[in-house]
Amino acid sequence: MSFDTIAVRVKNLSKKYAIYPRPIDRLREWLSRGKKRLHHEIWGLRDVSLEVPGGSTLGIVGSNGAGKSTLLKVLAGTTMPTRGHFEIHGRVSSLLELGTGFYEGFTGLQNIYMSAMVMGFSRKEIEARVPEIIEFSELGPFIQQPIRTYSSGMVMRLGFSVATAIDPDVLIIDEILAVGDLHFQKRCIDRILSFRKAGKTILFCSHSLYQVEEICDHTIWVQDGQIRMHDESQKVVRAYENFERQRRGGDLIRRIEQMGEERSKIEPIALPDAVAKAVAESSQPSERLPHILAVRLRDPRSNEVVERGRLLEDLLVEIDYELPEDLSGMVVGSAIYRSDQIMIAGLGTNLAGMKAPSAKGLYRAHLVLPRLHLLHGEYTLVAYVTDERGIHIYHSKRLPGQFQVDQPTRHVGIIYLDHEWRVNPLPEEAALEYRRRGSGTIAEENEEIDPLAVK
Amino acid sequence: MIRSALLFPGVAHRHLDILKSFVYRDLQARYQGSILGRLWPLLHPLLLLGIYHLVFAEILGIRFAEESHLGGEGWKTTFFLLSGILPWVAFVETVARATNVVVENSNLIKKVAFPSELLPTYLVLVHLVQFLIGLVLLAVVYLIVAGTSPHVFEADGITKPMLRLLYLPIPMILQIVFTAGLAMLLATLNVFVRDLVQLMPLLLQVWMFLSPIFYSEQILENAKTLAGDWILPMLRFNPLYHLLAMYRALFFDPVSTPFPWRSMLVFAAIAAVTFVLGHGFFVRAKGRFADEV
Repeated sequence: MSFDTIAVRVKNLSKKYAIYPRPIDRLREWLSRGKKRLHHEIWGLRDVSLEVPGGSTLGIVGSNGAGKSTLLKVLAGTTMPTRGHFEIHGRVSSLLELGTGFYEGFTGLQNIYMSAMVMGFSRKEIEARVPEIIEFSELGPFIQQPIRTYSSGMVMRLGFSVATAIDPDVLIIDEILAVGDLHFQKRCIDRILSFRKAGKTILFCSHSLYQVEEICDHTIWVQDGQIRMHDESQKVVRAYENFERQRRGGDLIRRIEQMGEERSKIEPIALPDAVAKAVAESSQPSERLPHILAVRLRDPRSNEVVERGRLLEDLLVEIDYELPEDLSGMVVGSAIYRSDQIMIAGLGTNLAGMKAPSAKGLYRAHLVLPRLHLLHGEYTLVAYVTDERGIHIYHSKRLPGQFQVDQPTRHVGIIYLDHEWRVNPLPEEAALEYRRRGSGTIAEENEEIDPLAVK
Repeated sequence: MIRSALLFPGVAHRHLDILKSFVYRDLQARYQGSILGRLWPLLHPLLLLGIYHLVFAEILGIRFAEESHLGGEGWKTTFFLLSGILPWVAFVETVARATNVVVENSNLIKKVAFPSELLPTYLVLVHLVQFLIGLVLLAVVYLIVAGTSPHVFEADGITKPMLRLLYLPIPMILQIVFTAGLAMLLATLNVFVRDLVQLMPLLLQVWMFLSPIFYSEQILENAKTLAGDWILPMLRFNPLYHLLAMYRALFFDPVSTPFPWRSMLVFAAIAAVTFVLGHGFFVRAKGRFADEV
């Protein structure tokens, strides 16, 4: 199959679940012949349309309950859509679960047959692949033991081996790679990649956004039963990640608000005050106190006002503020929050060992961020003016909206760290030492040199 | 509906491998860990036959046939009882278990696109295997009795009782069709009304007492109890009455009564309708199983 054919075509697919408050209501509704309506509806999928080119790998991301699994279940044929239709060209194999049809009284070998048969493969097809399945599962002689004696990891290994040993044109994978040890996970990924190489069409749903980004050509983001975004994997994953962070941030704000209400009743809890302050758009400026007039970002090279930054490129934060009268001292500062309200950095003139002017007047502060260390995503920036110790905040103002950071590289994590790599041959004497002591020395070595490991 | 019901044997045949595995799994699970293991399917009916013969025919001396000076009526008691009990057990166990089979296998239903008709079907086969073993055993004992004392069946030799056994596939096949139909019907209903699985054992017990398994029609006719007034008129509306009439004509009264063709036609019609309805209902509803279980 090649990219120019469509392997999976989904058109206006909707799936409704009828929820009855009590089981008897189903009967009552049915007996009333449509006069009573006692259920409420939940739409697992709403009008989803999608085309997956043959040989491509489609990632599926979304929150729990967004409809990912419903979509995959419909495509795998285990549940019927309420409306709309879909077509899949070629043979489908779905891995909605590992170890489907396993029976614990059977041996591993018997279960290979059992499981593959319920997945729709004939005894002959299975027979030809049994050696390969056993080999991949790495179960060795255990294959002749009943699987009730297996560890859960072993069962999963066998399950994955069976499910992927057969040769489908379209492979549907739902959240199954979170199992087994790392070594086996790696082999699973390798196998999926080899399917991809062999020109199979893959629908891959995972909570591991990293895997989705690595494996999938394009990705859909499912939200409330609809496709919210369908684009290159990287773009979709970024957007989705950002959305999730904001949602979590929102939860945090709610928690803080709740805690605030309870404050009077219980012992004060150390609240992340800065978070609460950042969340509030801006505090009310007082004409008689120091206050911020404007916050903006500039590209230091062109000196133009910008709305987004870029990893490893300079960025300038410009803060205009007014001191209505002379002060003994003051601090101007800025804090950057990720979209989940985690403070990435708090920077103030006091922390930088600088004395900001405290005489009455209008000022323009420039905070230069050379080689911006923020990774892709959306950030909130807050500027503030405080007393000389940085404790009392006279006024804070948020950069309108959020600012986006783009990233041309593939670094992952929370922030970028300045770093460099050096790889050299091991010094002669160290190499000798390892050879002398044989294998297993690494652990000992660590024990010897890690003072924290000693109680 | 009729067309799809007619196509069903083809579907079952295509998935024979799965059915075999299911049956094997079921039998293995049942006898797993027992010392006699695979001997149990044979031992069970053998012991059943021994106990019934001993208790009902010898100790209690219950008779379903007129006494004669030649003796041997005790065996007829045993044949009467077992030719009712064996088919009943096969029927009732299948139906009782099938009621919950879709709900029980929710894992399969939800996670693989899999012809779920195979679930009630394999239960029919599991109990058919055990039923067959029991019937073969019964037939062997029957032939031994017919060969050594033909007068029990009012025959001159073994030929007539032996020839009658050739009819055996007729009630068996019809029973399979009827059982499968009812099994599918109940399996479907139970997905939507889960109370059924609680209710079925009770209903089946009532059905058992309303069926001529432990008594004959004659006993009811002679009874001066409510049973005679109430059960007897209803008897002919009970499908099992017609089914058991066939088995009884094979093992109890193979010579003096003709094979009950009338009952066969009635039961065949009931079985066909039950299967077409049960299968049709199942196939129509199975798309919703994954959402309900």
